[in-house]
Amino acid sequence: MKQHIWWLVTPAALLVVLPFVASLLTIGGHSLVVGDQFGNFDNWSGFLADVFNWQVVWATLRLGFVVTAITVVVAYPTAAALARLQNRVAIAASYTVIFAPLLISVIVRTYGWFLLLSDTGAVNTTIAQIGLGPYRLIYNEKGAVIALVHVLLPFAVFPLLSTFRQIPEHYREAALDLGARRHEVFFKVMFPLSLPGLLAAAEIVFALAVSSFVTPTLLGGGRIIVLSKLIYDNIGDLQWGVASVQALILLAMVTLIVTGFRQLIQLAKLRGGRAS
Amino acid sequence: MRRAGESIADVWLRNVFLIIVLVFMAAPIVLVVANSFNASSFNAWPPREWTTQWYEKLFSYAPFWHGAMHSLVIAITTTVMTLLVGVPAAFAIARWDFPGRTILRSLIHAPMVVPRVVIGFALFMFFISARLPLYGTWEGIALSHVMLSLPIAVTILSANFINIDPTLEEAARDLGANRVQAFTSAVLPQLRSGLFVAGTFAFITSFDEVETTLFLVSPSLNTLPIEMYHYLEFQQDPMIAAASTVLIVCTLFVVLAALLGGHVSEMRRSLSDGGDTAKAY
Repeated sequence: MKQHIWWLVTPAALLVVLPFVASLLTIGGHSLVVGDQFGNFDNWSGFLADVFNWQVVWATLRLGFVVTAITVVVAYPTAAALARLQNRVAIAASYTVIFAPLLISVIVRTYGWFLLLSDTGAVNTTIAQIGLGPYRLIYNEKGAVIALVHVLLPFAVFPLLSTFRQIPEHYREAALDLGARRHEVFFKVMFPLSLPGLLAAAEIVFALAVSSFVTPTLLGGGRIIVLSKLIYDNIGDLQWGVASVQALILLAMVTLIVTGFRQLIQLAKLRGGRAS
Repeated sequence: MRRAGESIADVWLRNVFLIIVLVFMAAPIVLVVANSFNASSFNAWPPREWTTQWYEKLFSYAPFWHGAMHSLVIAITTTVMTLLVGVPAAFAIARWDFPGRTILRSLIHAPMVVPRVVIGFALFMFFISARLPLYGTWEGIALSHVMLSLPIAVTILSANFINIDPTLEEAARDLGANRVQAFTSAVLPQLRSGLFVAGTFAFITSFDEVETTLFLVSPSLNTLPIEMYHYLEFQQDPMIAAASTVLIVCTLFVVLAALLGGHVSEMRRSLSDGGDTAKAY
């Protein structure tokens, strides 16, 4: 390799890549430590044998499924509507309202949902005026799901929006001219073309939802136990070997999900053909 | 605007849906700001009385101010380090095809896919096991934040480098500049908007970070978001809303400063370049 390239990449390799790889290897090694013993698989067998852990893995995945389904269903028409906007003020306002929350701390956004959803919060006092409720919306899964959809929606809108922008308008017109009905235009032309964007949105939302920590712990009030919370609690209890196993399982889950979705995206691109 | 095969009802439906989504996105943030003036300490809504007492309580609540100072030091360090490390790495990745380039690029981008909780826990274990004096220090926290913000910075910066014509740098070299001089005089000035966008992302990522930081702080060194997280675990009075409002206003200032620093139109370009490149990974 040319020498000057070495000088360019060495700082990044030493400061970021090295500690990253070393820290993952550390938890890999520590998952095999019990007491003073190394090479002991008790942490792994203990995790796999305990039904409670499987329940937590299932709760984590279920939260991921529910949040991803709702987020993608909301994001798809939102991105479609955004891509169709013509008025410059409307475009600027909509983009700001949808993407600016990404710059605001997740704690602030979660606290906002706490204010909206609590027993005396804005939602319950408003629906009380038409004689409904009050509904218990915090300290259970409902509140966490609503807040996570809010936190993750911009991540889903972004890939969908760039996919919609790549679909030429004359594809629609051509389909209509050739006599396709409107639902046929959507299901046979537009939807297959937007599928790679839809899958990319689902991939990132799912990966972020199963690894989320702040929103489920604050709005769950200790009643939602996800894998990330288990890891955090085990540090406090000094169960580092067990926490290492849980961290590796969470990492494996996310890696599998991301790889699976990327395969699907390749398939969708091949089948739908790339617009443009 | 209507297009072929679309009725007025469709356009209305689409816009009404969009407005509902916009209300959904804005509601919690607007409510946080409004609630910071709510006199009820149980956040009873709608407020019967308005007050500024929560701001007074906030200004005399020392843990948040200590946390804010730590957060500021860490965020500035993260921004500087991310750019110092990210600019050369992005330059090498964008300009040359060298052995190990693909591996380096995927390792730099890997922290984006690894759950933040896992990164925090793994770094904690690494610091302790390798007996590095980094656990519970601001240097250790900044290191973790550089790890988190480098993928975005390298994506944005390499997209910018691809748009910069290498012949300019060669011309500078032909005129007698050495490699470093050629880079700083012919390349760096064109990178301005990319530096501002990448720097702003790094700063905000660091200042707001919770899930990795949680594993690396010690009781004597907490950042502001960690202090807020622990406060919220036990009480939810509107002082948190006041703190959040201050944070929202500060974020506005940071973004405005960045917009003024970089040229707005160039920033938009480097953002969309970054977005298109991000998809390629």
